[in-house]
Amino acid sequence: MKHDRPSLGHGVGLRVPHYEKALDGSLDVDWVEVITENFLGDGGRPAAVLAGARAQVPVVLHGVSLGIGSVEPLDAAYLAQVRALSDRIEPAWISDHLCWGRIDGHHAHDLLPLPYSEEALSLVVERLGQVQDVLGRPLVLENVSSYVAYTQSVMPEWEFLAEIASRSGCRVLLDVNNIVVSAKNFDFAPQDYLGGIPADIVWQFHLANHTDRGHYKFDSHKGAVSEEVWALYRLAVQRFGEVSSLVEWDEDVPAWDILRDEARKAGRIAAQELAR
Amino acid sequence: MTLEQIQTLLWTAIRWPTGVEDFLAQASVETRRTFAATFAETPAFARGARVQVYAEAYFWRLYEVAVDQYPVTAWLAGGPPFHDFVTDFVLAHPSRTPDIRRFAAGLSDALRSHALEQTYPGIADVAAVDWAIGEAVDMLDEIRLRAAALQSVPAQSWPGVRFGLTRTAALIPCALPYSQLRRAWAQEQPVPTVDVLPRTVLVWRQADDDVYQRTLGDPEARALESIVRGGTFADACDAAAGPHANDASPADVAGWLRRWLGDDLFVTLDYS
Repeated sequence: MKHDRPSLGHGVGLRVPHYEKALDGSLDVDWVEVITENFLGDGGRPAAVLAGARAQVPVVLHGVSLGIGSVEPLDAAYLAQVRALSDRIEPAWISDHLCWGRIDGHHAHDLLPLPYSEEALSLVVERLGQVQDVLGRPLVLENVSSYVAYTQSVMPEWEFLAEIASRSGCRVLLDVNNIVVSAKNFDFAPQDYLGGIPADIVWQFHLANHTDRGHYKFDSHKGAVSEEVWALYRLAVQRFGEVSSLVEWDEDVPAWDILRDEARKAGRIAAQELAR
Repeated sequence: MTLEQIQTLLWTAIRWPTGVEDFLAQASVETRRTFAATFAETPAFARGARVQVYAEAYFWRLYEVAVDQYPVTAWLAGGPPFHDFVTDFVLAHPSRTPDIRRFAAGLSDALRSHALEQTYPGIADVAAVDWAIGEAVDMLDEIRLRAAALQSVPAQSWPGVRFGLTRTAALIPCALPYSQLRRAWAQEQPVPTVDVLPRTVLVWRQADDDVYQRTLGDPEARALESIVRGGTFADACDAAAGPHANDASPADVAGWLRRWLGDDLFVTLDYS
């Protein structure tokens, strides 16, 4: 399979305990992803960290507050800030989540799930048009972990996501861990999710761990990537080909070497699967 | 159900102060019916428990951020009282900012009228300093004034010299000895017994991007406040000397000036 998507290799989410790696020029991963909202300030150490990272490796801006599925109007000031940051650091791409999180001017600071309905589909597509106009580039949209499903849904999540990408021109950040989590919570086969996503729209993978709480899985980003996620990642590489991967580890962030080795493991697995 | 109605229902349930189960218990029959008709469930995972996952994450996430942003305040108040206070704050002031680190900007003001201020007089001031430290972190970079720049000032011009402060600097009234408390917090010590007295804390970011704070003596605080208000070096000397003209000498102010310059506090110099 040949696609026009860029390949950044295998990276990690850059978090506070490892900001020093960006400042001292010792980032020994292919690329990093940063949380957009943590870098919207005007200067200081965060700006230096981002500039330092960008000088070494490709950087992706990963937002958590866009609320593409919220009913109320988009936050124009926030979007302008993201655009300004994008102009400053020239990220490889900009991503956010397929969810809602803003209501009555308030931010839930969570990735709340949408019903997979025609109304939600139209709303997200329309708003993606607005976002992509402001950013001047396609947005990369991530599937979220969820615990709630709606009776109003008329299609599975993967069909909803694929249709949004088809209508809006956005790309997809496929979070493999989120598929594992939601598959448990809603009793579907993770392979069905992969099978429902067209290969040419997938721009990136997320890899992470979750917490098993017995009757459901919780998306904790705590600990090394689980074997279940690695197994699904193998299938994802088989289906989608060479895709940039990113390890997220947000709780009890480990030493850099451990985190970096997770990214290298992702690279080894991808190489094995692509060589088949 | 429209998408707007669905989002309103989920948001209301998540933010219910005593949890989703209690939300349903207190809801009208119509709301309970709508809830059941909106959220799917499985035998092993009931719809109320599913929504509760978001409710717990909502309050817990914001509490953790508040502890990060107000570390000395949280330590001073103690875990459970601070948790309860933050929960009250979140209920009264849902976040209006996309940057979660800024959701609790008004927490110091909220503390002033809270029972915690009666238990720990001055804790709202401590919160103001905690917040200022976080605010200074990512403010716009500025070129700082170096001591060498003073060599160009003619001796006769010194009384009229004015300095512009970096925007990262803030002078904050604080009734508790913040620097002492912060050291104790950093060393994971118990909260010490301290006096409640009028004090001033200086917060600033140096050119190397590290943020500092220190509690100023009264004459130094008055001198720096005078400069912040646009006063001249002579005004600062008068302010430092105090009402009886004997709290500090011009030589003391000159000594502080050297320290302020070394701390990268100034960005402009005007003696025209």
